[in-house]
Amino acid sequence: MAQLRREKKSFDRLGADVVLVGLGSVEQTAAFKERFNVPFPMIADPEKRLFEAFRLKQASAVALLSAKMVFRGVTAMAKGHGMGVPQGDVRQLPGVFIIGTDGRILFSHHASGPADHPSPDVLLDVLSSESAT
Amino acid sequence: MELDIHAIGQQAVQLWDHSQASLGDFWRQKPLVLVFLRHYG
Repeated sequence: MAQLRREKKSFDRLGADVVLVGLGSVEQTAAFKERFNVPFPMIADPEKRLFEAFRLKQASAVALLSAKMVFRGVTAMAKGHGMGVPQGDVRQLPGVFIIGTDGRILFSHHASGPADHPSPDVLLDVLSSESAT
Repeated sequence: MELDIHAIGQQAVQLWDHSQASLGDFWRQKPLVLVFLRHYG
């Protein structure tokens, strides 16, 4: 989230909108947006309809308790990122998609684990390539 | 199996401010980066 926020101007420059989808209710989503100063629109998807439509998977218990995940959690806390009681399905894996104005999926990333996400640079490269065509 | 992006685009979604939109509305004007979060907390 912090990485995306830092790159907001880059996304703006490339003429793309960033929208986040969360598992919480509308109220939880609004609270999250305010708490973390999220500069992007957010969709509340508590019934996971969009998660399912995009075929995002769920993590196994082993993946959730991996040393890498624990390390990332501790590192995030050390950097001052908030770590409260998780709201939503903690097994749900994230994902990122870039969809063009013609409805083509330009990029898709179905996370293989809780800590698996593409860097903003990868997303910006896709958008940059698309805008150059 | 490919995603049925046309059907997905017609889905009504609820925004953080209680407004509603069709998901496809987000990509018809500009490319959309759609980021699915794991959970809040």
